[in-house]
Amino acid sequence: MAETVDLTYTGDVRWQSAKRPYLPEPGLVQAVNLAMVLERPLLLKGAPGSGKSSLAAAIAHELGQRSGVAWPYEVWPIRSTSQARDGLYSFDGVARLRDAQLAARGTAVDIHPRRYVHLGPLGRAFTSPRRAVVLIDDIDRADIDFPNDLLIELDEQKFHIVETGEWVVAQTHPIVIVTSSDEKVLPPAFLRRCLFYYLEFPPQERFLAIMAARFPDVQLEAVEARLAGKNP
Amino acid sequence: MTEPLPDKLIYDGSFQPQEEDQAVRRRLKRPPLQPYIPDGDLVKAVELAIFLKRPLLLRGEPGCGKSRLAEAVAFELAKRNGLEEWPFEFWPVKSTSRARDGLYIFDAVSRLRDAQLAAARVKSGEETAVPPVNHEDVQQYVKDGPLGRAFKNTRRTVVLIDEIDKADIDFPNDLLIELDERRFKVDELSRFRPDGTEEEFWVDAESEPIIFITSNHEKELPDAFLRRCVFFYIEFPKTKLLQEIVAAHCLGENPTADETRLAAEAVRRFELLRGELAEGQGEAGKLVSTSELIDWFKVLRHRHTTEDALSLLADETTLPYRAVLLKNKEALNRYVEPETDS
Repeated sequence: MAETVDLTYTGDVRWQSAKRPYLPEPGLVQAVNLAMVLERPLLLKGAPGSGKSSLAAAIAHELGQRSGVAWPYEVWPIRSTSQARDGLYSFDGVARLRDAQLAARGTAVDIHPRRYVHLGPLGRAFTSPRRAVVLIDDIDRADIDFPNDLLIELDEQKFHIVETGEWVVAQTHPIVIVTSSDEKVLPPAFLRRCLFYYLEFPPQERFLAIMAARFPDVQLEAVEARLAGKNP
Repeated sequence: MTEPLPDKLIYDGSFQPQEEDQAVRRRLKRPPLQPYIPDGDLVKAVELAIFLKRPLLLRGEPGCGKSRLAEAVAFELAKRNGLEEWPFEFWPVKSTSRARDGLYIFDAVSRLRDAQLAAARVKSGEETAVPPVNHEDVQQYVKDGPLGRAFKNTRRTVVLIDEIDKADIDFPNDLLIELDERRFKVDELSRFRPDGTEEEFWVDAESEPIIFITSNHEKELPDAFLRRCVFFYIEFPKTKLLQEIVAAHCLGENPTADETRLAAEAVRRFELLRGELAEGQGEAGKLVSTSELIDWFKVLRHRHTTEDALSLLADETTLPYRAVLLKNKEALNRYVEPETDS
């Protein structure tokens, strides 16, 4: 690495983004730091809106603020059709076939498979000189093969490009945050490779602090009264 | 076939990676190797698989060391034979894997390009900048896969076919002939004679690879496949072995009495937790694995002095660093995190 950055996440007020402040609870901060030390992904579950997907950006923001560089941050949103390979790389076989066809007109193009490999979010994170923050969002949207197909990539931090026969080995260990809405059961082989944290809905005191940070202009008394009215 | 080299093919776990071995691995650009403590029956199964020249099929709970065995064997064979490295091939199986990919890949598109280029040259009569490639020489478009490379090595390469049950049922079936007869046919290199008969192109193995296959038992493997393998179920390690594993991974060569006590205490809390989790169902019934124990112990050592860690573990109503061990809400609710200063 070019410079040494203190890789700890504090969630401290000093490092908050003005636009999207994120006030983590102490247990979550600890889980993030453990995940960084053990070089394992952190799996987050919790009610919708509890802040699962925003954490990754907040970590990247803090590391960026502290080191004075734009910290590498990758988002990989998962859909029902997502394939594990998409996040690592895609192979443009059509472009390669087209280039091969150019030969019919006498133009020789170098069609080495390597030239048609495009890295995906996790692939880019593996090749980043800094420990990129990667958000794998809503992993349970995809089918069961998806987490299973990522086991080796997350454990050994390397992946195989079938088309070139080459292995891409991670330069640095990405900080991977995985979120799940608990719609599907994740396989034990996947779970054992992750750290786990469950985000509870914040207690009133913290909720108000979050509101105050996010909407500095709002009168907290009004919010408090409203909360009191809801839960007498 | 006679053995080309009188290699010592013995594995008993008596060689564990030392600092100088890790230095060699760094130079060869390999990731550091972790210690591996096999139990006696597993050692016997490896011996049998090597002797019978059959794949060793490994099953067992996630995180019990199925996938780590192959590299540990390769490491010991290298040490016993005075080599820096024993040939080792890793073939991770995915839901999309096909059996042929492990043998070879045929680059049809390159051949198409070269054929078209040749046709264009004939048509225009001009010389192109690139030297002509004889596209009839089909061999150059064949790239070996991990098993293909192992077959061509004169040493008995250690091959890890990892998580075979991730692929569909055709995958193991398609590998039967290759694993049994240790040869494979390259269809693209086979030719039809003028009389219509096929001149088949076979690659014969130079040696019998030492093959390890792991399965999480998510799918049943076909009987025809099973009968060709030596099977071993890695039982969850007993207390003493767990302590040895933790010590090998996290403690130095001569641990202090307190460190040994901490390892024993961590294993005790871990086994207690395992017993409790066994009652759960579904995700909540996920047991804690050896790999998670190692992670957990690493964190305890990283964050605390031995003395502090011991007092942390003494309180059975709390569990420090739950995030490493407990992977669902129900399990988390069993314990609270103790107050720590880190």
